[in-house]
Amino acid sequence: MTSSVYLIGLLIPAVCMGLLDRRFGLALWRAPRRTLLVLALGIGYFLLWDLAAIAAGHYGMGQSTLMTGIMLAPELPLEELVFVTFLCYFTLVMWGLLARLGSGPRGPRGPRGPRDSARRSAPSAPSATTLEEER
Amino acid sequence: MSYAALAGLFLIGPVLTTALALMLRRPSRRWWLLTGGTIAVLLVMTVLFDSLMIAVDLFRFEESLLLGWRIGLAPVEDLAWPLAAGLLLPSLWLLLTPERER
Repeated sequence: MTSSVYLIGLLIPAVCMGLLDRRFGLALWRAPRRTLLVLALGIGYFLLWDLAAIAAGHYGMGQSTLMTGIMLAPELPLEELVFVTFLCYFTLVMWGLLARLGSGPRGPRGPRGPRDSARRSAPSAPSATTLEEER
Repeated sequence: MSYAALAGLFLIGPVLTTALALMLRRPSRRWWLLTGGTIAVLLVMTVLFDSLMIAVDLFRFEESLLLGWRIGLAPVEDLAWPLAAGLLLPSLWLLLTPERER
């Protein structure tokens, strides 16, 4: 059971990011194809970096019992692929969150009086202009 | 090759991608602020969680190839990762965003 601590420790916050993404339309829920393409390129790049560092002898697996032991390559545990995916998705979600926080009335920022709650009452029916923008 | 040299080598891709996005898309001041903010968050998260991951021995470094400067337990070279992520992903996103959407 302890052998999946690291994996679960990555997956739980990843699900939380997914919920934020879905709620605020940040990445996958904003432009799914673009997100998947950017993630694939980022994940590929960081895995290449990992493989180069392992080949050059810069790092290797520790003796921690918190990993599943499933290996993708010598010194490259399954968790590293999940970590790299997490890092890339985190970057896109964080950028989107900061953009939402800084975007003023366009972003859903919580109830701010009657005008805002009126806007929030129909979140599933964005205007045509919003759709055009977000597609 | 030192770990710093390898990190420098792998920073070239993200820096060039950002330069390409800069030339082709002329991002606004807002884009730079958001990208800088994202990098700042990534740097803080890296120092915290890299230290935690090293503390529980998820991975080990070849000490002789490190500069030896650490922030928490994180070797300073590892900060190349959040920097690379914070440059590469927003730049790719910008490059792949259709012109009419911007």
